[in-house]
Amino acid sequence: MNRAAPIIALLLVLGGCQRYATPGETHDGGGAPQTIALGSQSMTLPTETVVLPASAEIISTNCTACHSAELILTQPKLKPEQWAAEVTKMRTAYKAAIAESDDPKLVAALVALQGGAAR
Amino acid sequence: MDDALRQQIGRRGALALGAGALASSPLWAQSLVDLGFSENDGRRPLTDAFPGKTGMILQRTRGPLLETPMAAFDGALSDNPATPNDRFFVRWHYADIPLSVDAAAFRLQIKGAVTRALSLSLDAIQSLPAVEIAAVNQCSGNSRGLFAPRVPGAQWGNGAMGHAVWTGVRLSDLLDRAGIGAGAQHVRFAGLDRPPGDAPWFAKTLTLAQARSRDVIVAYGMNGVQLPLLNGFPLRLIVPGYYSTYWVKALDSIEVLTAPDTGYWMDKAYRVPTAPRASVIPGAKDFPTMPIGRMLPRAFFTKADAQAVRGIAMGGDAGVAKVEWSIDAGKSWHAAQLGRDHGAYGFRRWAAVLPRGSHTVAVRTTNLRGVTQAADPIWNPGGYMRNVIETAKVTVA
Repeated sequence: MNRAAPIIALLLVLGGCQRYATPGETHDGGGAPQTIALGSQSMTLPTETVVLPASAEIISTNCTACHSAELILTQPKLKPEQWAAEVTKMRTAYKAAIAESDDPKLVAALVALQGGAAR
Repeated sequence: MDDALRQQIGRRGALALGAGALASSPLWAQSLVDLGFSENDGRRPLTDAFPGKTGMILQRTRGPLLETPMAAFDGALSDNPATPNDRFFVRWHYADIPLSVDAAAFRLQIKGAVTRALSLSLDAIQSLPAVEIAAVNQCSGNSRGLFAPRVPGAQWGNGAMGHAVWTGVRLSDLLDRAGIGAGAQHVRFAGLDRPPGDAPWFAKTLTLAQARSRDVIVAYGMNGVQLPLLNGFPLRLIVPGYYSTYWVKALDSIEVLTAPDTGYWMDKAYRVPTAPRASVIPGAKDFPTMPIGRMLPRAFFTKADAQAVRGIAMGGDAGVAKVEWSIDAGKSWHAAQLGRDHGAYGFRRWAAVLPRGSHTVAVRTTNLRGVTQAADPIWNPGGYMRNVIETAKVTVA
């Protein structure tokens, strides 16, 4: 019986009737879910090398603590009011320490970084 | 758009251009792909620099945002549609993510409105009945870069998704062991990642009924091995049929609540219009919203050339009923061949045999609830829930 069980499971798989639509059902391996060994893991992430241009210093100061430069550089062209809304969101929702008095300069720098405002 | 698709699915593959030619490309990136966005801004580096990851599209280094190239999903109809762990997309909100986890010391806390709070080791969790489910994990903002007009946020192409077989224990089994307390209504999940400064901790909440669904599991296995750290080792919440925002990574806290979660990540973020298809007029504000929830059907091309027109489909929150193709702008639709069914929540491969000629081919999925894809675009300010019909140009000789 013990020897027959894997063979029956294999036949079921070969029969193509196995699906794993819901937990507890069998899958490609047949039978019960396979044992998964859990071992400690650690990793080292790559360092950032992309930097914003020197002219964008106010963006580096206010934004790059949380957003790496490539995400800032790959945003679609936004209108000044859209950038202003983003800055406000970072301050109110994410508690970013951005001085409100810096907002006009920061928004202007973000628009300039994108080569001008969206139409 | 069609050109974009060809680029996305890797017909041109990695461009011959050195990745260093792009200002937003790190020194360690290898080559470029083009996600084909409207402002010609879709070029991204491909990278092998992240531990356990190969050939990923780099969206952001810190915290990591890595997209799966569409070519990685390609395969013959009979191939397993599972996305290999080393190609599986990565998305963290904050930079402070777990870089090291001691498997012996790790504990999962179950607390709040329960009869007895639990602190479970991985051994204790693995001693519970193991279950398994194939399910697509898709970012709420998958395809955001294809929205028109464009919206801010991570500019994903179509590759912020993947299919894996998840192994773990039923969440309901864990909740039963803790015992649901009086007045319990919701269940909040949080992990080992940490916010910067005073930013809100990342946490997501399901209703008790959603949490008790037999399909919801706490997974310790992904495609037969432990999860990569970047995908949420040692435990990840799996919520089949729901967008990935609920699939909390490095899950170490399950808290039963007696009131709705009014935290930022439920009350303000990841909210979509209540309107059909989560779509409002571009630029609209002050419309009613709700937390994002169940996924929608989608079909994608993974290859569209003279040799083959094929791809993957998903039903969203129900199985794939059919995948159809059209070469007359949607006037007539023809059934695609389907690969094996991997259950309600998995990818299903499809293939189309087209007549000779040059075509713009469209492909759409209908799920078992009868929900089908539409061709007209949707829009919402978060760039969520895109499921517009995809098209590709192909010449069959």
